[in-house]
Amino acid sequence: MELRVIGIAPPVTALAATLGGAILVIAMHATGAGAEHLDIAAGAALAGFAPLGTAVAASSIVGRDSGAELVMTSTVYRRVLFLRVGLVVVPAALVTLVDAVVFRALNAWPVGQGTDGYVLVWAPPMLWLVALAMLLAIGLRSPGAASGLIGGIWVAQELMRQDIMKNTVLRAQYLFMGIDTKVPAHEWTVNRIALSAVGVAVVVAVGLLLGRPERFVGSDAA
Amino acid sequence: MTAVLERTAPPATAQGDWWAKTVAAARYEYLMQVRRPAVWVVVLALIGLRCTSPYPDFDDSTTALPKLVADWAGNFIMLCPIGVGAVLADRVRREARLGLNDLLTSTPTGIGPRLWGKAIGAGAATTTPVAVAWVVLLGYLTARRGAGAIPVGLAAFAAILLPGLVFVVACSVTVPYLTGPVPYRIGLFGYWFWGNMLGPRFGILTPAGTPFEANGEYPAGAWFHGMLFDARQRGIVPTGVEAVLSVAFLLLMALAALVITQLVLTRRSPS
Repeated sequence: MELRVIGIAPPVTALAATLGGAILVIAMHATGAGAEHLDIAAGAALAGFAPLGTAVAASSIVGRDSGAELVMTSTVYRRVLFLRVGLVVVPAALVTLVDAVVFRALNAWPVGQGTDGYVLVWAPPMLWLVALAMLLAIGLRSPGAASGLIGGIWVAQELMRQDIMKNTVLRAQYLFMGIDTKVPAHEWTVNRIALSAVGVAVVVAVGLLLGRPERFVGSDAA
Repeated sequence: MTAVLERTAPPATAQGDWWAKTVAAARYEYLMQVRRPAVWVVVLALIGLRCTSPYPDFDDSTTALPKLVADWAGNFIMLCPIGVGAVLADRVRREARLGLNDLLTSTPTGIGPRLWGKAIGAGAATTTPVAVAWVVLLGYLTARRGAGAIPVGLAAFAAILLPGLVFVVACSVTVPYLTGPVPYRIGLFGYWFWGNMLGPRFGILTPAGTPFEANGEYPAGAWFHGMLFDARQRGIVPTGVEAVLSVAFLLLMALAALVITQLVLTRRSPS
């Protein structure tokens, strides 16, 4: 039922981003790309494409009810929205996990990452981006605006990498840590914990905002 | 809606009639889009985000004015097309979402004027925050460097920023007809990163650093001696001819996207 409401586009978009990254890595492997390029591509697919696609897809779910008032009167809207986001995020996360296993088997793996990288390379960035996308979509009442900002932040993280890495606070929120260069273990751990902590905090904030679902009435749906 | 219909009559000639309808649709689309707070928030936030740490390092007081202006333009265009495209993609299926397609089809305004009106009007509205931010910057540069910053700034806006924005606008009001807005946005973000920032050193085939990129690097380098990024990785110093090719390519691609979409939509139309 909820899948019918959100439509096929959001889950397919999230999966397409994840699978697109996998196809790129497999194609590079098949065409004999250098080990260094292959490792970076695998890291970018896991920590870059998959979280971005999932976040943009998740943000598009906000404001989809043309009769939102009816939904709010008959059920807890927070639960409905989180369920819908789950329908996008869970399949994308499972496919990304499979991607990670395949990449490791192909020896296309970010430098210095161990077995914990199967999850930690992509899950904290995905949580961070999805949570932020939801918060922006609700705050701005516009999925389009939220996805624009998320896309911009995602590109800016790579574009402004040198400045981000110079700042202790921003470095802890860097999504692509350890993808193209090996970083000390403690720095990697701090980054993963900080990303996850901020992601969880933002999810809590989203839950609190969803306590007032009337904010969605008249939202600028896409 | 009433305003659109009123402004389309009376037709003088077929061409004049088409133009009047397009202008009316563009005006209406502009007013709708420019009043959306999300448009201003997203575009200005992305420009602001990049300008918190502009690159390359330049000194406002000593760097040659054309290079200074070109490097600022380069900073502007790195992120803002992402926001422009993301918020514009909503407009494409808006009429269908609101159930207005049948009503609009019954009006004298055909598919062509509506599509071109949307591209011109909504596109101009979405690039208005970019223009406003650029005017503010030119005001600052004029205060520091004198009135010479104004003509250079206007030329840089037209040559470096506008072609890429026109290209993104045209794609954003046409491609979502085929893909829907959500997949389009992902495609846009991926394209912008791959096609404009992922230089050849990463070993992936990319237009970045060629005349076919959309970030204005060629006109900036050739005409304003601005900083080169991906073109430098390819060992290229763009010439004036290559800059013309780059601008022409973007404008022609934008034109092609709109013309093809108009043809497809006209064929699909039941009337």
